[in-house]
Amino acid sequence: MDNTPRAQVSKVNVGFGNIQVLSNISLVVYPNETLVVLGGSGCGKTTLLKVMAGLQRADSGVVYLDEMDLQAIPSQHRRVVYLDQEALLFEHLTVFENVAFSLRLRQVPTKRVREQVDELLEAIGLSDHVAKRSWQLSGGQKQRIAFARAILAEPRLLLLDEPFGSLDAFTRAEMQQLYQSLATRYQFTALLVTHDVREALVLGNRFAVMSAGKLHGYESRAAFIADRSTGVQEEIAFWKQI
Amino acid sequence: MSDTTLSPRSLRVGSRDWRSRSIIGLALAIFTIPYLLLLWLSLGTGWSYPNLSPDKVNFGPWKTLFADGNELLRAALTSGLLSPFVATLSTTIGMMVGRQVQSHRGIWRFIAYLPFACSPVIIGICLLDLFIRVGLDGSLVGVFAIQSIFASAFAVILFSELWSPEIRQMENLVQTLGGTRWDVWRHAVWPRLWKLSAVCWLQTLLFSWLDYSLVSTIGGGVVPALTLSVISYVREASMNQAAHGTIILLVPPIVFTILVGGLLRRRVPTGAVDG
Repeated sequence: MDNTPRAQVSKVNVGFGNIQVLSNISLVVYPNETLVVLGGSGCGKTTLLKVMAGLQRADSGVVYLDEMDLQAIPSQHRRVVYLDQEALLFEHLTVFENVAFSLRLRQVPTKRVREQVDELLEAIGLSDHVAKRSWQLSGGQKQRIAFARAILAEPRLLLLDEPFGSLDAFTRAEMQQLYQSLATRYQFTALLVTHDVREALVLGNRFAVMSAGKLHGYESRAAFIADRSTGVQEEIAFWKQI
Repeated sequence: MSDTTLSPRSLRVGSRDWRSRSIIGLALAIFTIPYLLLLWLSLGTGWSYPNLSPDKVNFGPWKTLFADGNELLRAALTSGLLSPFVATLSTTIGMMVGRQVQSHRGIWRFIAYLPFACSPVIIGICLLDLFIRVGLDGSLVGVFAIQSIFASAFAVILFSELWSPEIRQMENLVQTLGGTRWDVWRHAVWPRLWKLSAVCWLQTLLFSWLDYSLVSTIGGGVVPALTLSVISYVREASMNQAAHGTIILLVPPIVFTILVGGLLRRRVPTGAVDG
């Protein structure tokens, strides 16, 4: 694995009034890995992602992407894609055009657009749905398309905010498998936040836990599992009990 | 013939259909007859109480509509010119300011509701002095201004309820996918707003087109308006002209309502597909 960080967050603080949402947050994301940040509701995960995406300003601290300070760079030029829990497909565009969205923004030639979109639709198993609109799709299908759309934006960093949180257990498991296969195939770099311990273990290469605006990173998967405060031990004990 | 066709149940269902159709037909007749009567009254000259129909049925009033100096035509053209401008300006203001009201409630929402604190004619009378001082009384610009104040307030309240967190999420998405401000507007905002914009435009257009109180107060009888003409004909007991003016008053709103209704029934905006 390349040791030069793709993204680096250094001592970022964000507060709203008297509430300190992010407190001295520092983290590193390496190329082609998925860093999972595990945390419950209200711990500041979304705020962290929004600061990294340029959708929210930090009170202090720096965010680097490929060793470049992002502070002066607006969100549309950062090549950092932020994916919400909801698929947020464009209702006025077909499945094909939704996936091709970022390619159209970059004015990629039509032939190349068709090749890339067809390839990705094949990879996510939705080649037969190209002409459909968002309201004709299931929740899982929408998430797959949202994912494909983000991948074709060729982001330097993908930020996923509980991407599978709105799905049922079965669809969620399918999406996790799809994520792993796409991550291997397209070698993207991602920071994924979740409150689901299982999901963290399945999808992550490295791990961190966030609580009350503070972040604690782990050197290895074993260290993450061994720490009782992460909830992994409880999860293991539960399944053993059953 | 099958047994089901003649079963008591099918006969009961059939009679319920007839009953509901009769009720709907009656309601339509009650709703439509006054307008048909207006059309009938407009097609003639002279009217003697208590007859329903005019003394002479011809196309006289309609033939003279486009004659030079026809007051009704002048009033219709003035109202017809004014109302789309009022609608467009107020819808635009509503879209922009509504967002601010949604984000910063409290005082902004209070200000948006102020024009509706009492009847428009009362506020028009209260503002008349100001309009006289700045020289806007008795002018088309003055009428445009006062109508726009009310129409804009209505539009702001309408749009303030629509700027949802989902639109903000879509905007964030388009931005991080590399979209410019125009892309954000085109793909994140406009697809969510166009229907309400059409409804708002129609509502504010109708407000201006059918306004009587503000145009008579600020316009001072100098600015011609179709509603003023109709009321004056009624006062003069010129029933044919009044019916004539009412038909002209009613037809554009009906046409626009049908057109906008057809547009709203489309699932997606026209011409929005890329590629």
